[in-house]
Amino acid sequence: MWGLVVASLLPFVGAALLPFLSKSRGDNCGWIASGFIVASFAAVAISTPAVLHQPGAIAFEWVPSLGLQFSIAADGLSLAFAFLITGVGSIVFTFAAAYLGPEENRRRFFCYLLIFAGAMLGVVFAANLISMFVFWELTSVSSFLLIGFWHERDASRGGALKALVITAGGGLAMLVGFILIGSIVGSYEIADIMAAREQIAAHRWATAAAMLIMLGAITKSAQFPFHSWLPSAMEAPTPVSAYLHAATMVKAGLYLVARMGPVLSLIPIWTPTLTVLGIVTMTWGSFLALRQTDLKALLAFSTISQLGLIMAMFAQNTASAATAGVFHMLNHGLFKGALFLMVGVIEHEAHTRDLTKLASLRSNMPRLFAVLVLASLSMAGIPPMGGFISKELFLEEVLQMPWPLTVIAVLGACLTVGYCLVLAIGLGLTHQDEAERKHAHDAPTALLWGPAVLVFGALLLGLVPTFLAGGLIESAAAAAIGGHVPHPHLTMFHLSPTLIVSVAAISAGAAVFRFGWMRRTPDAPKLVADRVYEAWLTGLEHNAQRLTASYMSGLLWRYVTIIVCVGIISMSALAVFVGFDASAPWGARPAQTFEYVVALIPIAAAIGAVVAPTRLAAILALGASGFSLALLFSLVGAPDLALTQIMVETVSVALFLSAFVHLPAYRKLKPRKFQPLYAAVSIAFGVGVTALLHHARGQRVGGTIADYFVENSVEKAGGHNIVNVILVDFRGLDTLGEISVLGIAALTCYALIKLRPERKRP
Amino acid sequence: MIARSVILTTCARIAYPVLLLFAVALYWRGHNAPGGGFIAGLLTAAAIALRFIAHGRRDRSGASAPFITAIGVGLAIALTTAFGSLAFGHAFFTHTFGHFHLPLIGDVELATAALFDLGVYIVVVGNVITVVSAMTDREPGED
Repeated sequence: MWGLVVASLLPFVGAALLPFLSKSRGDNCGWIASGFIVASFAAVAISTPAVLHQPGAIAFEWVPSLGLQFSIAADGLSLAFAFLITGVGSIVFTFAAAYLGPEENRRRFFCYLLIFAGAMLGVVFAANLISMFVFWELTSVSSFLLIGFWHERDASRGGALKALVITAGGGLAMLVGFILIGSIVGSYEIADIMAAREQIAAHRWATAAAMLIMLGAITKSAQFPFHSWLPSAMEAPTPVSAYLHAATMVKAGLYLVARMGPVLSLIPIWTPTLTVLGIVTMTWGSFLALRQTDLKALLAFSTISQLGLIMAMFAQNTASAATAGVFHMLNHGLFKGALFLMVGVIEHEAHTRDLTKLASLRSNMPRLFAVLVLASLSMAGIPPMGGFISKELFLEEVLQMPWPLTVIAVLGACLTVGYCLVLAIGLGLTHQDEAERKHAHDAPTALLWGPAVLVFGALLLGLVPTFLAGGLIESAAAAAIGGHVPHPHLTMFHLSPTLIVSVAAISAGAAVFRFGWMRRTPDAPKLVADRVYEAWLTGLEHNAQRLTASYMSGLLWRYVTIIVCVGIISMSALAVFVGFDASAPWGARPAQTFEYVVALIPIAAAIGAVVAPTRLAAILALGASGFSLALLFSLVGAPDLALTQIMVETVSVALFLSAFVHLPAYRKLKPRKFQPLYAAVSIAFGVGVTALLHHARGQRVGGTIADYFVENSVEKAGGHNIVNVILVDFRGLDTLGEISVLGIAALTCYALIKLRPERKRP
Repeated sequence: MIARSVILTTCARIAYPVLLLFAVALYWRGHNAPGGGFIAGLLTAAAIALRFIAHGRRDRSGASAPFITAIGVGLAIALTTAFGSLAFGHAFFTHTFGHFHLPLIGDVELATAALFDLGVYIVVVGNVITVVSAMTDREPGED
């Protein structure tokens, strides 16, 4: 178990140390980062036998007062994902180290990539829903940073934002679902939730919780109708697409469905909804993939399609379906990771990834082409690749579903074969306009061995699946259904109805490819989901702008009016709903003459400020009001307040003076006539505050807190000045907040004044 | 500002160090008598503003930089004091104080709260002077 803790921490440690370890230009940071992820892979591999034998858990206290634990648990399911994350990760990291040139900011890139790997391991090893959520959102954030890696491009920024809005938004829905589950069970530990599954299913919140969690899963795994972010995410550098958007991050949704399946599949809405969504996504994705000319877009839609397939399998919550799901997920991670990396190589060498502009790969890039064909075969589900076996398992499940789903799924399988043939054969064909197309040299070995290793893995999964991953798949499937799973017998050679369907699908797919039924459009039409997203985004921005503009008029007096009116409304609401308590005695102590005098000065000063003909006179009147307050404070025995008041008044004068020269003529701003509306607002506010103060005096329960301060000031804080002791000790946190505000206000002021756009000078 | 008042300049020259000393005294005695970091900070800021008014500002461009930094420094001091207690195993913001006998000065009370107050002092000075200098940096009629 501790090996897995080490494995999860290594990427984070690497991300933290990378800036210090790497050379100034970041030449070696790719290899350092690769070292960390390979070490993490080794730690996972070493821990595997023990965990498969006996799943375990470790818990650390996190926020004990909230009952939150930071707990790590591992079983076959987590391990299957961890193998993908660290295994494909090792290949992708080393590939990226050779792929990214010195002109890129490689240090930043590998930092983000390591953070992502750590977050992803955190998701799959989390034994607590809250910590799973934290890591889940961290993967969204790191994905945002990686998609937007080339942030100077508009499309990168747009794609990054879209991915973040959709996946993090789904993540928030998921959090609400988690909280519902947590409050039903009284614990966020997944083990406790598994134990209480009947209780959850019977609860009236169950359907809502299931739907919210489902929303998190289908947004993350780019399922219909939230699939549109994945093609946009292809703006990321290709290693990122291979790693995050094919092999790992988009599978987090699958992990969630598998992990929560034993609990949530007891809720009636879960399995049918996810099955339909998965199958529809599979077929729709493969249909859209056929229409793409951009290789990366083709792969993106094929990823969407394959994720739909696996989603439909995990949704069944049966032993055979879960076995198919886990096995296909491993296969997909290998062949799709490899395909993406190879597209990266093609783009690297030919400077285009447009199908219609590439010359025949068979003659130009023979070694790469061979690997590409093998990977495509696996994706199409053709022997001898692992994809064939998992496709058979999938068809077996599909044949037991209601017939419309079967038809759609088989159609999807045909289209899948179609686009795989586009990749495998279409890229190898010699074209008539060959001379005008982009030629490429064969890929350097440094870039080729990564995809080759992955494809070799996919081949081994086809030849010796049970030997290679039988135990892992069994244990993972068992965890995904929360019960026992028979040891899988995965084999290439079998005779069954599925084989006939498979052969039919392959022939139909070949026909689709041969006769070009799905004409590829040079400019792929915009997705409907994309249009909805864009309309929503521009609508939101537009309306937010309009709303803000409606009250941000730039007129100070209007702002003050709004603020004061809000004050009046809230005080009126208080009076209506709570009532006004007039019980406090007026005149508990007869006022002395000087108090009348001191109280009259501010009133006179306020009137003076209103009628003053010049700005200077108005400022002086305000000053008189302030200093008279200071006088009052010192007379009633509050020297600290008096001192502060005097200082504030003095500094205000300095501020007014420095602002003076910039202000427009006073006459223009000052209304000529008496304004009844403003007079009414001012009077209402004054009356309101007076009433509020009086009301508050009647509400006192128990003694005042002042007694506590008086008693404890010297003893506990060692100060005789109670005001100061309150400021820096008893209420120190308030003061800390206040000085932070002061600092921010000064910086804002500075920025507003100094950092204006340059104006043209006359 | 071309013509300066000689009277104002002379007064300011004398008043400036006195005001600063007074501010330090206000800060120092703040724990036990009227005063404290906030008031002392405002007084210091007023003194510096007075100097600006009387003497003008020689270097307009860079004058506000140290005061912006001061905001950060003050906040850092305050935060360090607040979090410092964690290092000694106490709750966040636990202050302590003690009496020390120093040669020549005699019995002195030193409190961590005073350190926090120092942070407040610096933030206040930084705040006011940042705003004042930002506003006076711009030539009149520049808009």
